[in-house]
Amino acid sequence: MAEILLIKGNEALAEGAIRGGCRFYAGYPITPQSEILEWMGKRQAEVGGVFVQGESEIASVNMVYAARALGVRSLTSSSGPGFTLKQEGIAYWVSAEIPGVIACVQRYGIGDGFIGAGQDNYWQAIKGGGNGDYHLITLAPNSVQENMDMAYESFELAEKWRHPVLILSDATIGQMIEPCEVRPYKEYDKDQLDWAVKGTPIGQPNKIVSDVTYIEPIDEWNEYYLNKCRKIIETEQRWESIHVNDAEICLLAYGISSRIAEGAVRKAREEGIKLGLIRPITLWPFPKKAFSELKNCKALVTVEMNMMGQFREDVILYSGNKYPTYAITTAYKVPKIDDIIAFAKKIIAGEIEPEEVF
Amino acid sequence: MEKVKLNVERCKGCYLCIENCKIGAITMSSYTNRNGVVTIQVDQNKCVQCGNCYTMCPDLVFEIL
Amino acid sequence: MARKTAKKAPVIMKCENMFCAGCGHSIFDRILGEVLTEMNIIQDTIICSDIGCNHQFQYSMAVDVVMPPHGKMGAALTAMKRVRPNKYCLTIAGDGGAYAIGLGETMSAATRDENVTFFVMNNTCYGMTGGQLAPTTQIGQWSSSTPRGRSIEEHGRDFDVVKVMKNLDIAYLARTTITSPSEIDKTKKAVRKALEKQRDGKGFSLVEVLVPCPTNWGMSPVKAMEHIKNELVPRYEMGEIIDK
Repeated sequence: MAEILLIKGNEALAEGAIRGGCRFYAGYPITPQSEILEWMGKRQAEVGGVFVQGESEIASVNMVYAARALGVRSLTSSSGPGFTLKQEGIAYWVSAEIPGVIACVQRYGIGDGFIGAGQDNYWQAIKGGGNGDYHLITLAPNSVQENMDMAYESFELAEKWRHPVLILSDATIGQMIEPCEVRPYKEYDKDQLDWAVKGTPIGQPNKIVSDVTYIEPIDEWNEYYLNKCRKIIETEQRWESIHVNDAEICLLAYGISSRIAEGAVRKAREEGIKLGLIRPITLWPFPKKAFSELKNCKALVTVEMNMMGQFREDVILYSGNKYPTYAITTAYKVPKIDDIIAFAKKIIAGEIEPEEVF
Repeated sequence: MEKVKLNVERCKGCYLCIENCKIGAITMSSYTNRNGVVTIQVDQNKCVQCGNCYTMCPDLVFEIL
Repeated sequence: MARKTAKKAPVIMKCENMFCAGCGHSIFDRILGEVLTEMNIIQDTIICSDIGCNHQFQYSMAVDVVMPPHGKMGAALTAMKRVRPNKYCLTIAGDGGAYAIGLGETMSAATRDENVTFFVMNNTCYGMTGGQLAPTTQIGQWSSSTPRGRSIEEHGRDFDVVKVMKNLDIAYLARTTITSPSEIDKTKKAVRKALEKQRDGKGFSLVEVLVPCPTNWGMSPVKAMEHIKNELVPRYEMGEIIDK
């Protein structure tokens, strides 16, 4: 029988990574993700891996770059301004095709911000964050179990595409305790990948893991890279649909907001209001295939914990702007089921104000 | 007897070899290589194979035989 | 006076380099190549590249390379050595990378006494971007971003790695130059010793090499070597400073 732990979301994420073969972790303390760092400090020693508490987020992200370049499954994690500091390093991962994994446990606010939950890292997380044309393969867990499972699978996903994976969690998921089924240990040999740097004898071609700028013919690389991204978009879209087919108003939410949105759908249905929910599991690639399930939809509503409706912009973009699209934005507060239902009723009654665009 | 072998196509014209050849066996030549550099020449008779030219050359022009 | 053994380019130097005429990097790269070849550790060496002129070693040397962002070698080497402790993990860094943008990472690797090796090419400027002010630019020295020369009032004092690292618990600290065959011999010995410290698990080693940048100094290569000898060497503590 599978082992079930009653465990914090952050700890589940760290343990999922360990079980998935992560044998290098570097990070820096920042609330609300420090449990990942602490768990790794204990567990890497137990499984024969390496734990380094870096002198900064910048150092940590580059440690992961180097450890991964040498073949080892590697993770870093952060939140808020710490995630910002890692952006330069992540852009280098993309350019050098380093399949590193990073977890961002979102906290609310601009700059230092606050230590509580938020979903206002969306633009930064999904629209690049560093310089250049890129998106990270982004997984959005909405439970402690998914924190574990996504961390567990993230290394293979990153290796499959030689592209970094971001686990975009948040303070609520990270700090809450839920039962969580533990996955079996995966074996991983750091020498198994042929591109990994291990030292080369004279006479064999030496390996360079570097910013692509310096080693590849740029036009060929660009074409290769775009095709890779197209394949990721085609292959990796994941989502969960709840009562979407007959929904008159379809909610879109990820992470902790999607838990509340799901509650709103069930309660609204009891009242006879046809709410549905598309819950993206991958934020990039955005699960635009999900929109084809809508048959009777009059409006889309995002539920998100920020002020400006960051996620709404992408919903408009990926739905082809076919539906009036609104956002319920709750900033640092977790949304409430009744507020979502009240918002839906207003739309049906035609009382809703046109959406602001910032 | 050839004491030092040259690959003057690599020469970039820094002339650190001339400066460091204590017996004056290296001088400017009249040859301009594919880099557009006026290269150097070695008087093989004068050369004592001290290796200073090899040691100072940034561009691996010299091989002491 | 004649040498008994042939002297020719070590096998690790696979092709011509891309440096300017009389550049110190190209001389240092060959010195390092000789040491790696003589110690027979090419297959066990991974070089962490900085970004700047120094990174061009990777086009002419047959050795494995990891290139993180500019200056982050202290962090990258820490990770590299810890995940593959049997490899020699070293960097050929610039003074701007190691002492300015990457000073935090360099110092953190040193204070942790990571078992890695830094070779820092100090040419007192940012070479690749056109000779701007570096931490190592001397008081009074012209740079392209200090056209009236560096002054303490306007630009602050210059950086001296020996003053900064002298009292750290590290394995090896040396400063050498490459202005003559005998100085090059000293540099080669220091390079070898630093790598032997790493081999023996002694801890952090750093060799700073005073190298010329004739292009940005506006001097001929011969004059640039004289400049090091006459202007830089007298201002600096040279030789082996820490040898544990």
